[in-house]
Amino acid sequence: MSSPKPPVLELPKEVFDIILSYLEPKSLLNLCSTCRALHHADIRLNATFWRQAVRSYRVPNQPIIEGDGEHWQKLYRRLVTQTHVYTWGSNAYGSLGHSFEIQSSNPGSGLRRSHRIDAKNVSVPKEMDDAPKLGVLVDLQCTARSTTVLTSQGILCSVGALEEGNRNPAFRDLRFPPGFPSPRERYDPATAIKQFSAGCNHILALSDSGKIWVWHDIDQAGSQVKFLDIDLLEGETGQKQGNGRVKKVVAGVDWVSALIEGTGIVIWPTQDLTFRSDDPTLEQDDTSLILKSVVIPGTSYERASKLPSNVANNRISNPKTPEEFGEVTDYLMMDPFCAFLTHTGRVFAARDGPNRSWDSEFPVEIPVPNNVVVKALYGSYSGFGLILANDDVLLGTPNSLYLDLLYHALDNPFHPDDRGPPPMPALKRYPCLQKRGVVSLACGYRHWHALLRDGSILSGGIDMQTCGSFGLGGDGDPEGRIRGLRFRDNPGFMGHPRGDSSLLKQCYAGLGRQVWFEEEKAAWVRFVTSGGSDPLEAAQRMQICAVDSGAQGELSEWMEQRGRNWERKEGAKDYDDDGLGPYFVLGIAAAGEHSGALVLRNDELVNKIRETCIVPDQPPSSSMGEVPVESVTEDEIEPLERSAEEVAYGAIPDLLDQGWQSVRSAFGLSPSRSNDAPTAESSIATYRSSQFCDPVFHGASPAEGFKYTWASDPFPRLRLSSGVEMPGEIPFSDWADGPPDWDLNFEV
Amino acid sequence: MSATSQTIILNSSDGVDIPVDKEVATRSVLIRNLLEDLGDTGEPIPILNVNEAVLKKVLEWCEQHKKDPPATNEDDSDSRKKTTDIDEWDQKFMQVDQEMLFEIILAANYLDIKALLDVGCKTVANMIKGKSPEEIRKTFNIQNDFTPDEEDQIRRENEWAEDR
Repeated sequence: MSSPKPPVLELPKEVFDIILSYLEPKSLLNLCSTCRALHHADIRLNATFWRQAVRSYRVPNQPIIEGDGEHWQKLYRRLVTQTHVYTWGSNAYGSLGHSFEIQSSNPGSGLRRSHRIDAKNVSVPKEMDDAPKLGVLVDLQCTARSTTVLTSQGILCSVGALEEGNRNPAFRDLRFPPGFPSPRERYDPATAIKQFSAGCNHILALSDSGKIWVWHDIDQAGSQVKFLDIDLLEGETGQKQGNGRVKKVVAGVDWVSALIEGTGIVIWPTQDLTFRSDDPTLEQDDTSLILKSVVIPGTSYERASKLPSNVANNRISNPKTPEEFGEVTDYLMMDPFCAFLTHTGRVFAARDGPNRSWDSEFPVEIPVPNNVVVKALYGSYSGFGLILANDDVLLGTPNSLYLDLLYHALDNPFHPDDRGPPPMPALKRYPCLQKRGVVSLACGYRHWHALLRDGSILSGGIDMQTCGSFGLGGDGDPEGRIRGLRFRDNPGFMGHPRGDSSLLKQCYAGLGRQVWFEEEKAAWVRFVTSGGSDPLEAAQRMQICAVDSGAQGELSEWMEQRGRNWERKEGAKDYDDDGLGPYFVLGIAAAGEHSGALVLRNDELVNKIRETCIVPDQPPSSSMGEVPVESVTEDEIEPLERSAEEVAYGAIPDLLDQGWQSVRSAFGLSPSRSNDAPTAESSIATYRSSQFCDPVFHGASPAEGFKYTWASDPFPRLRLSSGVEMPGEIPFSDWADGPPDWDLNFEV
Repeated sequence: MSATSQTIILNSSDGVDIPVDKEVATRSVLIRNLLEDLGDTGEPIPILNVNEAVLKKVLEWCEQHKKDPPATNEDDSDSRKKTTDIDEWDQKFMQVDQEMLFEIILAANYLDIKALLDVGCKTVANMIKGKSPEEIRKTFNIQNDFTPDEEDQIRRENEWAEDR
């Protein structure tokens, strides 16, 4: 007689589906591996389960294939196995995780030597060198001088530098004190990290068991944080609920914090943290005991039921009790301020008063026009943004300026000379972010990024020292100008020789400026910036764009439209089986002057699109892009083994070198310093100048014998909205999506 | 006699009458609908699929949660992960043998008590999470009916999910 079926196999399908909905993919697959009945496709390829798993990465639903479990599982596999990390911006502390080998020579001595230098700034996204070796990456955050990723195993890996220690241009696991196993060795709930926060100089993390860890040096073991006056609730798997459970940790600049159930947002100064050193002769504790912490008033409320309530009808102005503020669902430390979002859909701010008295007054509400419910609060220690229920987005960047102004207005309700109260500051409302499906925001020191539902990133703010933090180009090259960057009339920060840049107002008026990941797109931007197929014919138009910001704005919009239509390449669509395009951004991060993104890359589609951009070169030709030249692939370039003079281009090098200098001049950059004493930077500048005449460098050709499809295209000639027609002998250029119709009546 | 008027009688599948506060019993959508459709006649309400022991256990849960706001159809499609956190009281309530656990789940499903059904399903999910196939088999007394070759093939198919 056969034994009865176990009860778990007797459950009705609708009940079994609910159980599945609480499992993560690995557990589902393990469950399905137990017996034939549970290996059935209805369970193993449960469409609802895999669709939810994919959608947890914010991938949009596809109603046509909603019930196709195999499709959703395949897409999920891609998400966890084909995610790449890209970074860009300032690499002053090695925080981008890039490095490259370069051969350098000293022309004066005739000696050539090879050495390794760390790549400096990168102005368009570049993949981090070692990230693919780390495993599946689930989160990415930046401090001012570092980049940190969290793997699905709960391992934190950082590059760059924290508050202390040397710069690390290669990833290192953040370590734990002796006695605590590394999550790379084995799983331990005490050290497997489930959430972390990158502050200005510290990494603060929460483990599966509920322990708080903090690091101030990538090379040193972290410390666990405990409080003298608050008992933390820890559990083996972190599933315990109740007073003392740490729900989230957030690091700021000089303060760090934890949201603790039953207590609220608890903050303490970083100067009270103690850290171990690696000196084995010292007797050291693995714990940083916080003797005195502060609780932000009104943040301790916990709802009895997490079911949504009709918050709009219960709006209490100037709340005084935790219940009136509501349960904190998310928050940021932007010391001297703390901003928090509650389940009521309202955002409040608290501030550091005299003598660390964060708790001397009740938090104040950050006003949102028409009291629209706030869905999400994003940002970092240096700025914040709100995503509203009506799909609008408001930014409170840079830094704490907005909150400074808000508190100033609230502190001074009556002006001394009766001119009325000072005006309440307004959060910034960039047109390009409104009703666009923004799902996440990241704020650097002065720049910001918005991640859209379609997996693209928009940039804005100020590009400090024009280091490339927008990811749109820049860093001393003129490419950024053609995307809409313009130098600000200010000296460089802290005496830096290069000033800051910002985007033209026109860039925010339409669709915004999108960060592009395609290498071919970068080559195309370089090609157009260099003057297209005939730089001399284009010289006047380029000059107009350099001096007239209106013309520059329209040119950058023309480029934007062309770039956004890039994927409409014939035949490429067949390879986009999941509809996510070649690069789909899953997450963004920014801090200081650099940024990063977790990107799902469809290599098949990337290659297909690349193929559609390249055709065999057919010499001879009169246009520069078609000159039969000795060109090589990027990997084969040995830049300083042959000088510009040695390259047998006849008169073209001289003309193009003049062109290179005029391009730099036209876009407001100083001439190349090829005659200066050789330094690593000047070597690169010399290399760039000398290579300008090379079609590969020029963006006209990917390699010898081939050219890009745009190699014969001229620099655009536009009819400007002012009525001015750009000079030239070529036909006027078409707009991919029509000429812009901008309303520039907004503040940036 | 207002207290009496708030008490109804449920008749379990094994024929036992169980008096219970109406407020407690109407945590069940099935019972609430029956009372609305038939009116409060004072007659015992037959609960055909649930025996006395399980019904008493379910009513114990309903008593504890009688003040909870009614469930709504929350659209959580955008939430990153569904949490398997369970309230402390509910965790203790679910510390029963496996037979009773599945009986409670089936009863919650039959009586249409969504919150209890969720707690039961979360409990089962927590019994699965983090376990290997062999450990899951042991937990639920499942017979392995794969051939070694099949098992090997499934293991290879699932390799991509290791350490995810």
